Amino acid sequence: MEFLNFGMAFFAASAAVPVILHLIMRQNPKHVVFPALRFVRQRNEANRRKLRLRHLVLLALRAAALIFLAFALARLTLTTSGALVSQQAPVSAVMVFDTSPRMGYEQDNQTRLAAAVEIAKELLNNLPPKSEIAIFDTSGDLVNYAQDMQLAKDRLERLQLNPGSLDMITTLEDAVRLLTQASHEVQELYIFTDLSQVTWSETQAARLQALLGDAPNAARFIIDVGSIEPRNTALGNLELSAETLPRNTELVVRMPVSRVGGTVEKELQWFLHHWEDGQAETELKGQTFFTQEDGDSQTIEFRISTLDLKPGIYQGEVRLVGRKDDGLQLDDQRFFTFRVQPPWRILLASPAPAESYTFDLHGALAPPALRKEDRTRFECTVMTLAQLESAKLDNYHVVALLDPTPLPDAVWDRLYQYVNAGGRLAIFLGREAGAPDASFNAEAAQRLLPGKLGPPARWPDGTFLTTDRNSHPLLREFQQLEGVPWRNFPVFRFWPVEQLNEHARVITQYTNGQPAILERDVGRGRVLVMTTPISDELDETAWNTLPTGLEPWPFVMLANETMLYLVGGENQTFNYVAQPQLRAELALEGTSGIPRYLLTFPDGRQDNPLSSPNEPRITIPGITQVGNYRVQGGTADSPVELGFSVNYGPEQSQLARVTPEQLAATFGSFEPTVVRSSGELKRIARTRREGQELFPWLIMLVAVLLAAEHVLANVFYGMREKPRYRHPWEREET
Amino acid sequence: MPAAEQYLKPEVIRQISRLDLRAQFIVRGFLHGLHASPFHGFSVEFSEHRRYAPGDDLKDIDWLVYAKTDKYYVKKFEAETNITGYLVMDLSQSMGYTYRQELTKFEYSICLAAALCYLMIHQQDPCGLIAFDERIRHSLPPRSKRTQLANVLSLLSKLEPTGKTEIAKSLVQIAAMLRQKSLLMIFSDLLAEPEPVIQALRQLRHGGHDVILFHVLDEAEVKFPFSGMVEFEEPETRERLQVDASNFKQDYLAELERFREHFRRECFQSGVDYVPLDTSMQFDKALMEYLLSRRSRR
Repeated sequence: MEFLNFGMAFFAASAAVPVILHLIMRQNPKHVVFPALRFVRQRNEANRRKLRLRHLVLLALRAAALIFLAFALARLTLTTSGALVSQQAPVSAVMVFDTSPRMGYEQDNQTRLAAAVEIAKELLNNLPPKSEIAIFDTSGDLVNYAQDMQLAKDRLERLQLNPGSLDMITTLEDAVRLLTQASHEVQELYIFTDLSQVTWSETQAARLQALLGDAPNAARFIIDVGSIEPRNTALGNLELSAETLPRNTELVVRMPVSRVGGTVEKELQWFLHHWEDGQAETELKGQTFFTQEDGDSQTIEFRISTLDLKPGIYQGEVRLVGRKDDGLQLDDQRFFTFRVQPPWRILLASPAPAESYTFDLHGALAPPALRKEDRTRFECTVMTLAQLESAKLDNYHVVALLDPTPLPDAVWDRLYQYVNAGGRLAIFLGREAGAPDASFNAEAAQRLLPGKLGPPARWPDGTFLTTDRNSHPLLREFQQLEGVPWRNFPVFRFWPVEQLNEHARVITQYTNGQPAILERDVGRGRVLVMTTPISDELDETAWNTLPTGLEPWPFVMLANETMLYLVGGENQTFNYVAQPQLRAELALEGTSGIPRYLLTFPDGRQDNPLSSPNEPRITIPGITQVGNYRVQGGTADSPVELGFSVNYGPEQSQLARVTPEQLAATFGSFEPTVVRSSGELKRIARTRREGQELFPWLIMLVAVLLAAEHVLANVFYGMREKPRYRHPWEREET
Repeated sequence: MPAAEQYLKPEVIRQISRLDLRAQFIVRGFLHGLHASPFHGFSVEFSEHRRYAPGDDLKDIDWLVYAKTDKYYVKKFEAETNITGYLVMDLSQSMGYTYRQELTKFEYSICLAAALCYLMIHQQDPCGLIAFDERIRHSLPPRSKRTQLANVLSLLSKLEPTGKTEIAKSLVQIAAMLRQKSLLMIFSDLLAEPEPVIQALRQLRHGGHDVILFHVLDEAEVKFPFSGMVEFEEPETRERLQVDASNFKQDYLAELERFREHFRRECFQSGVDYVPLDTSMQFDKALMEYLLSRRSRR
């Protein structure tokens, strides 16, 4: 508490006036001869005590009224900080803006970020002179205090939504760190947010409270600019059936759509962009209408045929039409990129008769029915191992050796060169391998194989492949299934790997713990070895029943996933979710690096950055926009046309607000003051800074005291009741 | 208000100095207000004639006398039973008090006593006078002769309230003094301990006397018209007491009422007529009380 007008506080001494008056201005009693004194005497003592009490009450009321009047005139003020702070004392103010895309929600034709900026500008105008201001947003930019108001306003003007927004707590860490370095005694932290549950979930509580503990004296304000009752239709996380797919297949796109607030009918359209002679053309591929109520969620699935698409990169977008009852525009559009390529060429080599050995794998990779319609993903060429020596291996994406016999060193050398240059080699070892020491454990073969082979292991009761709980990319699709019936397909014999090469990895094992599938990186290529064959016919000598068991779909799936893994590689990602410091990596296939490329941003802006000429991939850092990106480079002979898409994360559409209880739990003992308007903020901030002036309350109190004094004085002294007894014959006084 | 009734008001009577005239005016005012002869219905024997006066009942006109003399005479009657009345006056100093009225309690009492005496003599009732303070100071034996009125009024006009009083003791003396059953009309402010007084009244009643107790207080003593700080002084004991009168009025009135109620209840139980009066009241109250008492004695 403090007095803004301290001199007037001395007026409180006037409270002594009624006391003095009471003491020195005592009424001289009037002398009256009165014979009926006996009636007076009887009640006088009790009356005197009552009278004294009444006097004291009235005296206290009068003195209190004068004291509070003095306090009011002296402008008694209640300060929350406890420190005596001048009205014009400068402050250190740190503003933190949530610039996540969610703040683009429009209400009253104004985005939430624009509303926050408007309030912040008014706040700046009301800061005391010489205050220092720092303005953070969730872009992660480092900032420092500035004393120039115009600079601060310019910074506010430049604030924009940030697709790869950091989370608020990380930004607050920087902000609080700066607050601890504040040069002014009064410190204020203003957080401009939409109070969404995603941002202020209780899981963040411990981290938030720990960092706020570093600046316990700072006043904390949350400026809530969120919509109380949001109305929005949101597109979720777009899913593609495959990002790379051969011609003659279909791209399946799954588009989750959800609704918040009210019922609305919407139209969803999807487009495909073509690049023809450097010009982008947009083709409407389909549309659908749907109606959703508050809380509804559904997934719309549509297909895009690649039948007529030339091999290359394709980009498209999904768009919600119409802005009616849709506050957030940013989640009305989703972008996607996929690659169409010719069927992957696979060379299947085996002992003669090759057609017999390769029958099962060929059928699994390119089913005859699809082969007739030219709709297979893989185009398989079958030859004997003897033909390998003269085959042109570079024409094939993958070379697969099925149950290979010992091969001459020259063949191993050719295979090594092929793999070293980036080729993919799959070896399915079987009975034909013979004595390994002579061939497979020899130096030429060991340059490719993942380890030395031991004598063939026999497992009469059968062991089984395991794919459960294995996150290897080759087995990722198996994780989507609820168990794979590998126990229907026992493995009786396999080649144990005794000395694992240091560059080799076990992808999966049998149930007996022995390696089943291994891989090894060799140069720019990769070798994959399966220690049991996939070409044995169903008889008692078969090493396994993987391709020949009843309904062998796990074999078909494993064969396809193996080849997809080998041809695609795990880096072939064309679709990204926006996040801080996002970087895109694009593999350059068939080209050993390009020195420079042209990058076209979603907004049409172009850049011509350098890249490492020897790298088989391009890395594009610092992605801050959502949309479709296009990369062009290479030479006229071997042009490179690549692209990728960036979308907002689905959390940016989650407009559900945190409840006051959840917010209190998140902030714990550092609960902030939540305001929704600039007027409210101005009043609370000023009250906190200058204290709550008690003038109106004191004047009201004085009025109440005086009224009470008046009423009591009247009650005490003004009673004029008639005597209760009156003679029946006594006439009314005239 | 008719002119005669003016004389029932103490402030009017105050302007008449002669006590006999006061008594006459009071009684005439009172009788005029009754609109009928107070003697109507009384069974009395014929005693004399007198000239007809307005207000007399026509049936009392003696038509034989009218036939002889051609003048209206009414027949006068004498009561079968005479009431021997005593006017008993309290001479305490407190009786000489008034705060703002025309008459002191004592003057008011004397006026009443004179009027009653007038009425009684007029009725052929013997009327005596006793005055007391700490003991009986003056005593006039009852007579019904017309000269008695002058004697009584003469003594009344000489009385002065000066000293301390012993009401109970004096009443006991009176009881011992009276041989014949009488009507005692006591005028006192009763500012003494009530219990001995009540005992003395019971003793009077026990002796076969009828008692009308006129409790005469000053208007200020009944209404307590004071405000602010007041220092009261008791005239007999000189005792002083400071009181904030503004706050005290209710308490005072309650206490007075309690006192009066006590007397009213005790007198009722003893067969004493208790008549509370104050000096602002008209005299007819007291006179009516006397007449009612007289009727009840028939």
